[in-house]
Amino acid sequence: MTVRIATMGMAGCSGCHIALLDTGTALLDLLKDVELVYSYPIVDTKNPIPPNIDVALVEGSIRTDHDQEMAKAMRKQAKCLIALGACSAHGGVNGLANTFNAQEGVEYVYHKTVLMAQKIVPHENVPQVLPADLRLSDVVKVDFVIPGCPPNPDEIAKVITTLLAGETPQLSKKSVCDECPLERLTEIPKKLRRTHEIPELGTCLLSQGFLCMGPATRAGCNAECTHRNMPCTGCRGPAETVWDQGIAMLDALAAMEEDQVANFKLPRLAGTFARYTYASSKLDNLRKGVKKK
Amino acid sequence: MKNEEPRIGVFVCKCGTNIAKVVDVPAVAEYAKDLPHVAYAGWQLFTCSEEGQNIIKKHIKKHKLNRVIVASCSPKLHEPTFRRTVIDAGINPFFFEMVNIREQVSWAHMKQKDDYGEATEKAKDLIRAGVYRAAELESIGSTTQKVPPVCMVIGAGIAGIAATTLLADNGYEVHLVERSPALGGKSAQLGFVFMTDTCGVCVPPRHGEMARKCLSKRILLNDPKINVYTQTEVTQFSGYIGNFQARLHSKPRGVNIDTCTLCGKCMEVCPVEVPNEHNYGLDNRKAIFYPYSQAVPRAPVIDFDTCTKCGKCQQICPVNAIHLDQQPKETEINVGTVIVATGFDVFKPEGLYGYGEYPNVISQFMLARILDPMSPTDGQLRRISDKRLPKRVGMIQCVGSRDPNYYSHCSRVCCQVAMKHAVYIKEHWPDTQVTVFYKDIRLQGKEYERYYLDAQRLGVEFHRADITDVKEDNNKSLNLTVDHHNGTQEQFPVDLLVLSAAMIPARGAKELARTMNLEVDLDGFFREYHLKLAPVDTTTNGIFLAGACSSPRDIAEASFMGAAAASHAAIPMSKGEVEVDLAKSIVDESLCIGCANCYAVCPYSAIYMEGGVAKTIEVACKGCGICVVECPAEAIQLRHYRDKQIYSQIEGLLANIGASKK
Repeated sequence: MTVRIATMGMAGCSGCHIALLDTGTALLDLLKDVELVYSYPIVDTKNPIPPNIDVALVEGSIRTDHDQEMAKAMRKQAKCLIALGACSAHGGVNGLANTFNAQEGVEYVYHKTVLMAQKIVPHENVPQVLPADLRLSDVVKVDFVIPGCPPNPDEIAKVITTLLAGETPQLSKKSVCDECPLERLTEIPKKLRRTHEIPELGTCLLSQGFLCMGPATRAGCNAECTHRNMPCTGCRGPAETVWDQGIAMLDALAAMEEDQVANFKLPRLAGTFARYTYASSKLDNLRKGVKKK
Repeated sequence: MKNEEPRIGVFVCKCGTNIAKVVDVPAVAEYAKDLPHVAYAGWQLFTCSEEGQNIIKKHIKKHKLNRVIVASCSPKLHEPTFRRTVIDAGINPFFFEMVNIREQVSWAHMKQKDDYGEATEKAKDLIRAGVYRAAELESIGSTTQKVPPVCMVIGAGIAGIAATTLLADNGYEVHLVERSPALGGKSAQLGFVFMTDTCGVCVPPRHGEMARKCLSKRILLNDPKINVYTQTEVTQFSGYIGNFQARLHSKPRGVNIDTCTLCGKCMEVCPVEVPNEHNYGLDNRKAIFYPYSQAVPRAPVIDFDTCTKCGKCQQICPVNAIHLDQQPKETEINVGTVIVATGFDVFKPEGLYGYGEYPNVISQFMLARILDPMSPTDGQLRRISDKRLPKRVGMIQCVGSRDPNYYSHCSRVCCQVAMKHAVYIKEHWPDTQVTVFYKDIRLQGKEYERYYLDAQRLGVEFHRADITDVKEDNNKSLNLTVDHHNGTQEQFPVDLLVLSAAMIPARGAKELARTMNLEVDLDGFFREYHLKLAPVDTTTNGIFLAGACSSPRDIAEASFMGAAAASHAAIPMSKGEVEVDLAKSIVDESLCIGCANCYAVCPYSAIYMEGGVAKTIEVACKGCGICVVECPAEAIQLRHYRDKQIYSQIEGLLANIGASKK
């Protein structure tokens, strides 16, 4: 029996779909056993969501009432609903919008930006913006999460093949440091540095003072960024035991010298420490308000 | 035991009327019966009493309880009591949970309007939180650590010496570390001391001893158990009770104390002269100098900061005791316990009341040096400017202390010191007028009041007043503007003005606190574990405090605190080991990423890095939990305060929020 798979995109960039296609030859192998019944970038999806979907991969966060309805509709048809990518899993970069009032944001876009000369906020026949950006699990029950921005193609293939084999896939419980090849120094950074102050090769970036989110971030990406001497930005969300990714890293940096912490003026703390997880962070009050309603 | 179904017993205490007056205790006990896993709940008049504890044991047996909650006072007070009770009943002590409904409920809400109102509800909430937490508790064992009979005492003032002699008398080996070249500390500068008017380091014979003795001398000359390190500071410190490692840096003395005969020739020929810090600059000393008469060790010392290495002393020394090329020495010692007795320094009141500006404005310590029989003035009261006997001496109390602009604490000894000097002056120079300007006279102690009355009888004048201005006249005398507390103002001329300056934390105390991970209080003194119940303990097991390093103290207090610290330090050393429970941090090595954050933040040096992961030394860990918070991968948990235990406690606390509103 062929397995019916659907994919769907909400507030996102389609990057996760690209990652899905990027599974390459693995995808060809998969397609032998799989029927792609609904997928807007790949097959025609003008019909309503078809019934009896076995696995649904949902990209993007919930930003409008349309997204919300589509998520619910997909949940009804899908036996297994997978949140694909950072936006869907943790709110993603979109989640940073929750540091602003949504209505003010809409007004800014339609009144103050140059392109919107008419200064009218459209309200007919268009989806309405929700007061906050939500992750998928805020709206419907999610069975499994594939994190990452974008998600690792190998991991996508592995999760789907595991599911096809009738087993429960597992994400790594460790943090990115576990896969990172850089040499750790057993000392706290003396001074914080920004990425343009080029890091030394081969030495732990955090020890050098570059804000690497690795320690608090879930492993599974093979530490692709730190391999290339780029600090981890935390796209895979909190590691298994971590309560809140951003707070855990802030806590960790509090061990630095007092004056360094006091001078800690990284622009936009939320965007630095909770770049992909603000909408699922304990810091985000806006989202909590929306969920209650 | 892990998978056993929790059976919780809740014992609510009335604490006489302490709790029962404000909290409806029987109602709270009744409420607790319906909470999850609770097998028994009841109340008692005094749970901590023998009878109360027996009731707990009885119910543990009767209801087969495996978790016990006592809702009473602060765990600081009686947690050890009840842990002992449940151990006696065969339950692991960490299955005991204490809920504080006295300090946190009945005392906090003593003034509530309605009887038993919200305080009772709060007590219920706290007990519910305790019940939820108790269900998640785990059994925790203990381990032992050997403690060798060796103690390091830092500071050889009154407190340090008192502790050292007591420990040595009890048969323990002591390493006595002193920063200055001679033993005796600040009391060696005093000449004579309050109340007894005797030498500060002179001790009357104990029972069975034949003669009075000098504390500082006896130590060095007689006792093989005591190793003395002068001109030495602790530069590195690590370890835990039973296994402290200290690195000592000793400055070179330049003189061999074993061969030196103290003939004094070297000091005669030395061409370098600098102000004598022992006498607060009243006279000069040479670059090679004997710190003060009677100083121990009995040998001069070379001040290599000012020495020109001309070699004259070396040539003249008849016993070849001088070594100008001596190098600093590093020593590593391993000790079981540590007593910190680093004492205090005197606040320099620069810019206050003309100090530093006018020569005849001095501090009480300088006056002590002038009045000392061995002083540069041969014990004669003299002004600084013209070396004449002052006819009018003024003293200002609380200079720098009890002053929000400087130090908020009361320095406690200044009243005694002023009293001592006032009486001494009046007794020896009856024509000299002595006037003390004070905010409050704070003299409390055995027979102190009599001394105060003596001073008044001798004609010392006491004025409760503020000095708002000090001006110098042509005679170098001083004109004080006195604001009396009764509202009048007057001009008051004195020939010598003495400031009772505050006692402040010793120079270097902050650095030592950092080296040894000692806690420091708001005024900069070392913090004791508990002000009343553990005044000589610190937060680090095995490190004790003595003397003025933890708060201003007089000589009597310093000496009995030294004795107290010695007896506390002797406990683990006489037992030879300490038992340490394992309610400590524990690293999940599979999650640890080796970032060493925990290692860096641990205030007790209880974490070390090995093989790329952190490891806890359970004996050293105090269970503070900083590492748990700090760990970015959340690989560290604190036993007895695991996340799930805290979360379930919070859950329990909040479980009733919806219900109470309905």
